[in-house]
Amino acid sequence: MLKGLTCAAVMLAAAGLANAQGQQWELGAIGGVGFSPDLTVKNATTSASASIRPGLTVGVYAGQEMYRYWSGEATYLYRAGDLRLEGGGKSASFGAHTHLITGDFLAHFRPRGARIRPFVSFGGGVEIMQGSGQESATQPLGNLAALTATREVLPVGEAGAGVKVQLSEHMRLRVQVRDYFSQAPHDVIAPAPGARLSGIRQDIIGMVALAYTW
Amino acid sequence: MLAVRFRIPWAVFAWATVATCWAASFGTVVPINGTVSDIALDERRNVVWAANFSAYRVEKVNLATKSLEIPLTVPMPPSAVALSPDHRFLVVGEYQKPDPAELSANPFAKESGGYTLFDLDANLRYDVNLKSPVLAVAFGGDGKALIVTRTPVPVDPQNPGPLTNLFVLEPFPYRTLTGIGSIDVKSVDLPVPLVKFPTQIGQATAGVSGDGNTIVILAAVDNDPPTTSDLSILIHYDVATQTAFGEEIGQNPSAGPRSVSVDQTAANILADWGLQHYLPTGISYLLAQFPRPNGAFNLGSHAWDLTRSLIYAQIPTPDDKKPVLHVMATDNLTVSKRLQLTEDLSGKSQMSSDGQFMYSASVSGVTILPVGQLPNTPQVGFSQEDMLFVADACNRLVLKQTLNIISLSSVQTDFKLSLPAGTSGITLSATSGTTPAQVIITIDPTAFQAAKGTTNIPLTLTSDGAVNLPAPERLLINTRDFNQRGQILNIPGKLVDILADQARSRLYVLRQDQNVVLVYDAVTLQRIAFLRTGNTPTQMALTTDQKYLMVGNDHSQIANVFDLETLKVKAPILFPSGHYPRAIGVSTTDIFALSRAVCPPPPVFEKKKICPPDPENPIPVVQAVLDHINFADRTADTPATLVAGPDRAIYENGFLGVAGVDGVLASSPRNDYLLLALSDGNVVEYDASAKTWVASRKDFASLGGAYNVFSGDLFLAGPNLLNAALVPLGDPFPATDGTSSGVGTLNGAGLRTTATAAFDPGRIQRIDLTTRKQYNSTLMAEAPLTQLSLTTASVGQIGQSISAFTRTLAVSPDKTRVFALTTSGLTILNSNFDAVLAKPVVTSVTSAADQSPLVAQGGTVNINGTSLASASVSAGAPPLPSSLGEVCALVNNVALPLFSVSPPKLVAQLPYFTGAASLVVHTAGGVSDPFAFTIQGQAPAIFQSAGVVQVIRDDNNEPVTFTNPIHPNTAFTIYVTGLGLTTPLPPLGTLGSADPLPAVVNPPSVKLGGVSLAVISATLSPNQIGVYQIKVQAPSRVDAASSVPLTISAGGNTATYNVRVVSP
Repeated sequence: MLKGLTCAAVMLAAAGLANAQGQQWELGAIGGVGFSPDLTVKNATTSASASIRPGLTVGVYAGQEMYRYWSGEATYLYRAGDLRLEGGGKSASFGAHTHLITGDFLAHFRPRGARIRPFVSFGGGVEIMQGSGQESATQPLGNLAALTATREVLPVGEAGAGVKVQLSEHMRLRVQVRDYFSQAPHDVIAPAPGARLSGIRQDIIGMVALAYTW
Repeated sequence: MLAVRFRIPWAVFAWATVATCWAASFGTVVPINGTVSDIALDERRNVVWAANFSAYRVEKVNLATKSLEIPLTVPMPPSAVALSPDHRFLVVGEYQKPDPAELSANPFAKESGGYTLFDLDANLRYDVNLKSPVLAVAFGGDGKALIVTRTPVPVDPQNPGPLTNLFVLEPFPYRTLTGIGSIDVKSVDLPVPLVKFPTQIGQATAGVSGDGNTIVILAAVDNDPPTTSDLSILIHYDVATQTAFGEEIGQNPSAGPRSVSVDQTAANILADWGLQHYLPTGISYLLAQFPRPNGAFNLGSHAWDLTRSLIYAQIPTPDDKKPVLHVMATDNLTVSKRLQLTEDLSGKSQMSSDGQFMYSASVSGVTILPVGQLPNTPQVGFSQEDMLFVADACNRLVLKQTLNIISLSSVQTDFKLSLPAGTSGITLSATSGTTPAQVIITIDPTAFQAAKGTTNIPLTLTSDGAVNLPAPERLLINTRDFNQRGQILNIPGKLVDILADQARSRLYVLRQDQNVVLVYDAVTLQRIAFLRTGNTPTQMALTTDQKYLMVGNDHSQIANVFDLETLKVKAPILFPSGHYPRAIGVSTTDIFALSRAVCPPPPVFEKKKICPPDPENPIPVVQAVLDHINFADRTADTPATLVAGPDRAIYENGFLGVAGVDGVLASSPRNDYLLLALSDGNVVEYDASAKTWVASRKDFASLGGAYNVFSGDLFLAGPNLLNAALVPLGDPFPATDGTSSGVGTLNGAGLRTTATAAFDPGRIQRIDLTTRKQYNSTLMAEAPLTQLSLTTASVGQIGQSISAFTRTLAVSPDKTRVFALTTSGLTILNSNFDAVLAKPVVTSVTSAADQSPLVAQGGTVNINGTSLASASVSAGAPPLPSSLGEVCALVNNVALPLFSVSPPKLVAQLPYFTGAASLVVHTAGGVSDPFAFTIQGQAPAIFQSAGVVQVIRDDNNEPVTFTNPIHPNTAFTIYVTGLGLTTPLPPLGTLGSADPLPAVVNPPSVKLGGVSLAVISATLSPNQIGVYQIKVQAPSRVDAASSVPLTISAGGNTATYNVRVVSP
């Protein structure tokens, strides 16, 4: 399953690159901080919030200015962020991180060649969430959810906006905010029998990127 | 039951062991060729002069070399010898003069005798004829010798004058002999048959008080009757006034040994086996007597140690195997120590002036006893008299206590310990060693579980090096059941009576073997005083004003009186000669004593009784009388009827009995009625309002056991209730109760204890005094004392007088507790001893792991039900007890190790067997009905703790839960019970070996989600009992799911539990 989804994301990114043959390319490194709104896990009697703690996000991307106002790119992000359950005066934390692999389309508001180009983006891919903490039989709020040291792959959508600034002939700065959204992770944050994890998982990541263009 | 069956033989064996495993002996014998009739200690020359009766000489025994020097020869058999206080003059009394004619018809002139005066300093001698055998000679402090002859003769045979047989010889300067009086005495003429010894011929001996002011002569009035009683005379000679008087004494058995020991002032005189006390008023009474003399004239001796206020005595008993010297108290002849003698003493003994040595005539010559060296002479003993091991009917754990074997002197010595042959269940960490030593006594209660009370096993101590004969240690092993009530307080000794002091919140317990009343605080049960009694005390009584305690004695002719405010001794009550007060009854008008009466009888009986009894004509002899006590005067008299004066009873006084009449007196709570109960079945009633004895009946062939007067309308004697006229009221008590032991009254109801055997549980029950029915019969922790359990083999001269009647029950002054004399001492019961506790009920037996009904051998189980315990209690460190919180459980009569008990549940380990099982639970509320169930060979069940299955991930050592799921390729351990036998198999209730762990004989199979797991091992879990651990490895590929079945199969039974499995 995981292997299949990964292949799909790579193929999507490859398609974008293929369409950009002969156009301007960029290859950049990107970093920022991600924030995730809480999810809710509850059973018949109580509830708790389940969240991914804010965390550093780093990654790389490669894109191509395919058209005057459109471009495409493939992005890989490593999003650090422990899991956390909190409710009823109790809390549980659990080591975790997420891999985001997406293919994105960018619609620019100024034509290619402009030094400053605001844009909006949208796309999709896969999110690989990895619980990495120490499992415990006595995890707090275990009656609601188990924070589990397992790997879970989820399809993810993305929407965002940003601005590119051409700093020099080959250097480009980008500032952007993206919202990755997926279904709640039921393996890593496994709702206990009788409990339900609800909500759409979102990861809002503000990033700054520096790319080499040619 | 086995332990019980052997009890009496063991007791006999114990004493037989004492009798046959002899220690080192005390004393050095200097043999003499001949027979010694008397000795005189000469401390200046460091010799003992020993009159060698048959060799016509006085041996000179060198005390330094312990050898004989050149003797002094005398013309006649020397019957007595005495040395002047200045060690200059030796007077040798001579018996009868031989006739030199070879064929004389009278080889000894009957009326001949005399004395020889040796001036040892001047080396001179003077032989004097008196025409009468000299029986005794003694020097007073004035340097003059008292000479006693058999026949009154004139002082100077050549010059007839007044006839006298008491002479005073002033050896210096003129060897003056003065006649001072005549007292009739007897002796045996020579020649005598073979095997006749000097003390059986002259039958006289002398003793001198420590101050030298009194000489006491013991002589015969009859001629040494062979077996029965005789009459002797005790002649008191006052040195200062040179006057004498004699008092005849009749004794049965005979008045042997012929030895007289006198204290410093002659206030106390020990003559033969009786200790007489003399008041300044001239009144005397028998303070104490040796309980078991054999009366032989020629065996035994004694001496008064003025330095230590002790009496050393060898008074042979009828069953002595070897000679024993008793160290005794001077006030009541309490035996403090028994020493093995080298040989029998015979006649006179003398103490050295420094108290270091006792010199005695003995069967071989002279025995030197270094009593002053006893602190440096090997002696061995126990540090305590009893050891009480309290187990219960189910307890399988061994009990251990440390016993100290100590030296009773400054010298270490060897020792050996032994148990009666065939004893099982008792292990000694050492059976021999050197003092001081500690020996761990280990008791396996399983060997005693047939007995529900206390089993008494004697532990015998012997020593090759020690000179003393220690008493055995009583190993008391109590294996009570939980429905047996009361707490045991160990009190060693022979406890024969108990009284509660309502005015002072005290408890008085009469310890017969030590001649003492033990005074306890009735609340704290701390012992607060000892009150020394006469010899062999039998019964206590309080005066009506509760100010005085009276104690009757079987071997003293007094009743002791103690002031209870000060706990001081007061003047005793003196009884007529030959009367030993055994029981005392106090009424508002009179105090009576039931006395054992011995010959000679008081004149009142002369007309119809014969004394001594004639074996050929066994006419009954009075053996008990009712004496009337005048408490103010401290005297007692014997009226002709049961009461003297204007209110004479219609019944004559004196109770017949061929085999011995034994009886008691009991007072009603208000002292308005008395009951006299005799072992021959007679009962007599005293009514204080009539001031006389008003009823007498004999409806029983014999009587014994408990006795009491509930009121003027209801009396109890043994198993019988009697009405106001002493008419029996049917059979109120079932015979299955056993022998009644104690009776009391509590809150308007009667109390009664009974015993079937010393090792069985006793019973205490209430008696409805209106309906005269017993109810609420309740088992006690151990049996109350009865005549049978109190009676043991006699030991030397330690008194034992056990009545057929027993008083073993007392109620605390605040009415909250009941005290019972029982096998180990005292059992204390709450006044609500019969409170009804719910009987335990077993409803199910389930696996302690998962509460499934399948249970397996060796597994841990829950025993579910109601009233299974009175409280929640958990066991401590292993091994597990088989009784906990007064609860135990038996499966097919095998006690289960218990982890914990609580009212609804017991957690226990099942035994190692399979098949049909029957479970009973014992609690203070009783024994449950049997519960039938089946024990499987294997029945796996995973433990759960607080709902968490005990499947433990090895990587984090935490149980598998939803938050701690199983991952592929991870190892985990499943903790289960019910896997059955292992190799090796640890004993029930104990831990298995830690390395290697005991392996399950038939390992289980384990599946996870249908996939078989590799079982790495299946063993007992270390540090746990009845818990097994299965180590398995999860496969590399497992379908993740939140609920995957984990199945353990063994012995055809499976256990399945769902666990969460996740991907890596």
